[in-house]
Amino acid sequence: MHLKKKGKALLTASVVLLTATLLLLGAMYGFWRSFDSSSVETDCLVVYTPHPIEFVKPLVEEFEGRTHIKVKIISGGTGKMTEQLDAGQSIDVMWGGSYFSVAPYFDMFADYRSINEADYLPVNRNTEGNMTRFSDVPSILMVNSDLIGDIEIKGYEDLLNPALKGKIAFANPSRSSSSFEHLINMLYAMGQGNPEAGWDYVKRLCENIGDNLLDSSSEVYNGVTAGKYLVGLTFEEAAVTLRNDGAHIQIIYMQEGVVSTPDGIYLLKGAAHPDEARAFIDFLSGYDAQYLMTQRLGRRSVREDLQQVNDVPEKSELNIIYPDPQEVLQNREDWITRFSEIYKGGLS
Amino acid sequence: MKKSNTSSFQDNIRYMVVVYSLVPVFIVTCMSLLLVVFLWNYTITQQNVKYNDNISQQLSTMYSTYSDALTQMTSYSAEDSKTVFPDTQQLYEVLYQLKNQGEYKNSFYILDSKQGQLFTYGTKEADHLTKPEYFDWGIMKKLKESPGEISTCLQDKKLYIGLLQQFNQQSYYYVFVISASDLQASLSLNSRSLILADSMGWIWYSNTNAFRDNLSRYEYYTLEKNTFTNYNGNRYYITQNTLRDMDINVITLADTENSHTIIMLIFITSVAIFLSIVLITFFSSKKMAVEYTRDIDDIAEAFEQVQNGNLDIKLYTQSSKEFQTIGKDFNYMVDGLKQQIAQNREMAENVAFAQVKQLESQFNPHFLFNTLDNIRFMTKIDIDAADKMIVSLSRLLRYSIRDARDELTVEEDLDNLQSYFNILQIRFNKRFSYDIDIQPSIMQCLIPKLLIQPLIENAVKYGFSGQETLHVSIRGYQQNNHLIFECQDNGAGMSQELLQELQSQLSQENNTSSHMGLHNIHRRIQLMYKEDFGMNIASQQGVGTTIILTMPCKK
Repeated sequence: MHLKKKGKALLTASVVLLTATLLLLGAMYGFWRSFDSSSVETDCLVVYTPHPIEFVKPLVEEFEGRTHIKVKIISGGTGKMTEQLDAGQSIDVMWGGSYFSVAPYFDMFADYRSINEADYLPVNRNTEGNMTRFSDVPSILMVNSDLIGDIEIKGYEDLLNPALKGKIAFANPSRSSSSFEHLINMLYAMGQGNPEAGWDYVKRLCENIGDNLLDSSSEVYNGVTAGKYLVGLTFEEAAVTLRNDGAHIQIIYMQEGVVSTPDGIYLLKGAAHPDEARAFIDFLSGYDAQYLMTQRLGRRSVREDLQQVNDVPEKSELNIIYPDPQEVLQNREDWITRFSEIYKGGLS
Repeated sequence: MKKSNTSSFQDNIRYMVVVYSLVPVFIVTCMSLLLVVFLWNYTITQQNVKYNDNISQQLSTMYSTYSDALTQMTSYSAEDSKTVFPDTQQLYEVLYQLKNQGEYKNSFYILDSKQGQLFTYGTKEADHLTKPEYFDWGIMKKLKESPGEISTCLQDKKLYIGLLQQFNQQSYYYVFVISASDLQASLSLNSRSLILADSMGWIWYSNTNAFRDNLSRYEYYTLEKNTFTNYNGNRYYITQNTLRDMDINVITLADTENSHTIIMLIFITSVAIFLSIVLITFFSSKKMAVEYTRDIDDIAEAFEQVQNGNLDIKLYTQSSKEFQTIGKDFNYMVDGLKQQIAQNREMAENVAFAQVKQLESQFNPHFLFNTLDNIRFMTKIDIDAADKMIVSLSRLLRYSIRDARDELTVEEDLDNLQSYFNILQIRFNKRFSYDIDIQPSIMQCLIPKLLIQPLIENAVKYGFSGQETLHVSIRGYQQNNHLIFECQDNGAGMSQELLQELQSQLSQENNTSSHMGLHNIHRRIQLMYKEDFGMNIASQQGVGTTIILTMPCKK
């Protein structure tokens, strides 16, 4: 064989072998990569909620079963929703967040009146246009009934009892929205309607709390249930749920006054699934869902026809007080800072 | 060896080894890998699909059994319009039949319009059926929406299969509740990963935590029927089948992570082995080719040597029988060739010698006759001259017969030449003159005898024609390593045709012309000293002739 010819043949052979090897490698790589399909992103209603998963589960299950609209739940604190939006997450519905805590986002919510507005308590109706009330959440005091002994607790004033020093669970209002609700509650209740007059009480309460200011609302109710604290400042749903689960606790509605701020369901402007979102709001504000919520999920309904079905005292039995929403919204940051200063001052 | 054009035997051998060993190895490797992947893929997918079919089949059978049971129960009450609901004994018969024949485990309830429990079998607690908040929720709502039809609903990890019978303006809810543990007892399952979920992904039964979203729903519910996918870095093969009657998806998962890793290991190992084979073959083939073709190289080298004239080469090839024979025969052949060449040379030398002897012996009888005739006259006219001629002639004769050696010195030859000139001088008297100019340095050089004399003879023979006097001059000198003798006369010269004829005859081996003498000299020089040496003739009619002899300078 001619050398040049043979050289060519050798070259061809090696090129063919190399190509075949590369092809095989490529095939193997493709085979390998074929597994790496990322999780399937389905077209579904995206709901952002600060509610616990166990709370939303039965409601979402029933909604999906009825409408066959798939719901994707994104859990997170009320204040963190904008982070999700900034990260490119599309959100259709914000489910939860009290009037005061969602105030900064009001501009982001679209107007929608659910089909159930007529059945709502007048005080809970959607006067703003973009805030459908979902549930009523009164602030309460939660007492460990096993450990409290004969210390009597009927309201805020009783928390100043020296016997409770270091045994009061309260979360930082800058971290926990339920604690902020309590702060508003005590300012208005102890100030007899004038929040400025309430700060003296806040100062004295801080002295009795000691250095136990907690980071989240769950630390409050879990701490009381576990016996680390005798009394906690928290919200009704948490206490009712724990009591239904068998925890030995007592729910005290402050005799000085109870603020009960409803939370809402909000349709976001520019939602990708507006029709599905409206169906979701209608479902959650409807009788069935609200009824189940009062019976199973520990929350008060916002509907007029479901005021007497709870195993909690009716609102009319409580000393409900109404803070001035404008005043609260204006002073929100100021009050949180002021609380922090008082708390730190009490420590030093 | 002309390596530039033709590849060597060694290269060919190597090429063969590389091509014929690597290509099959490569093909076999590829095929094996493809086969492994194919078989693996087939096994994984087939087993998964088979298990899925099996579970789907079991569930379908279970569902139709429960529907039949519900239909059967409601038919009892229809038969007897007076009974609110069937005889408990009949109900138990159906329920026991379910339990015994299908080994189906469940709870069963019959509720009235106000969720009152008319009949309970199995677990007593049935909040989702009896609590007022569930009256328009889940299975109860579905039953109310389609009375008289079998409805199913997955609620809080339990599957409800029920039928609403409206009878005498009363509603009766017949509901089977099958929990995940009931299901596990009812079906024959194996350890493969199985998820049973409704169309929204809510899970009824599952023995794996994979593919769950934050609500513990099956996350991939919209995936195509059969697919490979990745979950949290683990690779799965998923088969999904929908049972429309129950609104339940049967999802079987094969965790392929381990086998996947094994396949990749096999693949990497194969590639590594193949590359090693390539490398080893590449180098070992070189070594092997060198080893197996060493004798071939030796043979090629031996032939090359022989071609260059070296016949003393011997070939020792031992690597195989064939090469031994080749080596032996080659040596035998070269020996024979050598003998042949020696014999040929000897024979040629003998022939040349004989020829030289014969050429030398051609002493011109004309000259002898003329000289003797002259001597006869001289004895009468000039006794001294006659005497000198006799002496010179006798010297010439002695010189020609006495010296047996082939070569003699220039000096000796010059003596002889002198004798010859003496005779000519006396014979032609004033008509002939000569001069001799020999470099003293070449006096001891060896030349063939009787080489120059015939030149003079030739000059005398032809030079006198048509003219009275003749002058011959002899010159001898050394040029480079050559000894050159010139014999120049001023005789009649030769015609152009004659000169050309003479020159052409000098290049032929056999002489056919009358100029035997000149040709003989040329031939003798050539025989003795090879081709490069010999005679040149230059002549012009009426001017004279010059003959030049060229010989090697031997001392």
